[in-house]
Amino acid sequence: MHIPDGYLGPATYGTLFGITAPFWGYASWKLNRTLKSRQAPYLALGAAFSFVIMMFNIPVLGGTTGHATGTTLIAVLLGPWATIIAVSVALVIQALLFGDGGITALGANCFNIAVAGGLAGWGIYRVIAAGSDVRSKRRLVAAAIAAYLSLNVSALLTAVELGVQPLLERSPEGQPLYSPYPLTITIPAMLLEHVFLFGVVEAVITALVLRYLQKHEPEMLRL
Amino acid sequence: MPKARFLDKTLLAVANVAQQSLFSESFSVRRGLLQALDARVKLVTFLFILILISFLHDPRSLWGLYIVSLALAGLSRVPLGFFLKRVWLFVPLFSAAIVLPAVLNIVTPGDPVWVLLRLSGPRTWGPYSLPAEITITEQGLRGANLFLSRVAASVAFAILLTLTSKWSAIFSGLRSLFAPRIFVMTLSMTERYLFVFLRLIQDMYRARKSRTIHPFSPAAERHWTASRIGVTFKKSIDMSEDIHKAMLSRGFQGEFRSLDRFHLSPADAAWVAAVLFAGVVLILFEKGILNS
Repeated sequence: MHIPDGYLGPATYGTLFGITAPFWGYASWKLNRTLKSRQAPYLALGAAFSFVIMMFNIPVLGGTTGHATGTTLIAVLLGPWATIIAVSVALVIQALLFGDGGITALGANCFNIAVAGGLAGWGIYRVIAAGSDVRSKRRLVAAAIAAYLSLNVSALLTAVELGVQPLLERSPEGQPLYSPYPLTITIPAMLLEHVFLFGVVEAVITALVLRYLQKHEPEMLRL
Repeated sequence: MPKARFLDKTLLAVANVAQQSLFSESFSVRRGLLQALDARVKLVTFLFILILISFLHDPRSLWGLYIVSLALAGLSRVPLGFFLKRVWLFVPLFSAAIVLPAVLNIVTPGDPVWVLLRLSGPRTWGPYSLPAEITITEQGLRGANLFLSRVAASVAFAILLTLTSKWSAIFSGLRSLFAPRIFVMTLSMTERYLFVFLRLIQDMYRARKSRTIHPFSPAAERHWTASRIGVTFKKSIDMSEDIHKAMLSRGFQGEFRSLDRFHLSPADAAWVAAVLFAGVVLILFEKGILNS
């Protein structure tokens, strides 16, 4: 899901930086008002959690393992604005320090995963879980559906950004200059694996973690 | 005996992050060309190079830049074998694999270079169609070459930046790109506490592995993994409270001050001039004003 450097043209990655920046600005302003001096340690630990969550391998089927991105889980636990900053910081660290995800594509990756994924996950969870008790099953179902849909929203956005490259960025001879595949290929390629596999893994892990917290740390779910 | 592979995979993921950080740290303190540069200068110039790469459309310019990255790695005392492995092993090789179908006329129509398959006739399914002949096209090959050269050059410079810079210097350098202080502070705190978390996960998984004679059912293992994620989250919140209290007790009032002091040297000025000169030469070459 992390788009590397060289896959998106300047028009796309520039626009996505422009779209993501106001979300970063608003989230920072909002958190500064609510968290005050607690902001940096709270977000830093949230970002570190966001980074390490991908390392937890979980048994899937027939001895295979999978992992979650954890965006919806973080949104449910920390709220949408802290998620935007925490997941973005984790993505910046992955790109700048580990070479995972492009530096020029940072705006796109942050938009797809942190902004759209975080807001979709949080919004869907809030709508389905509205008015329910902290320990209710409805919250688990809400978290699973939100995680599943949020991951697929991120995957769809990634597919669209890659798929519009041959339309937007062509040489005078009509040759694609960046990612060469059209929407008819990128959308099914990205969505097939996310709809049938990764989305399910994300939903299961999110619901199971929430179930554990409902049982042992319900005060963490008051948000 | 069935093995709990998910335990090993998680431990391996943790070890990989620690190993990568160790390698980067060991190269960033060597006495080389890029290590001697001011962090702000390096970050801004590397960003310029990455943006420049995204604007170049001639594979010769991109491969030229890739060769320059190899020379810079050598001058920065990064072993060439290690650098090549680090650059090619992940993104470019993956990109080469995914770009392969794009050389065919199914994705990139054009002049056939090699006929791979002849069908009885063209086929169409909704928006998808297969021509009567499946061929490798000249346009497809050129597009794949351009795409791979761009990815290779970009990844080479991105890896060079990470290998030759101390992480703290990269974060401080972000200030010069007008990143808000709070963002830079969060980044450096995240980097520090990331390793605390890695240690925590490693301890939890090693303890579990040392007690595992036979794994439980996949469902029970999923519950166990979820409980470890939950515990990690709980610890992260507790730790953030403790850290905040520790910061306040040391006089923190919400203002972030960096201890890093940057000194621009003649070497930095020469590096900036060289990068700008290379950029102008490449742009002139691509515009056809400068001939090879």
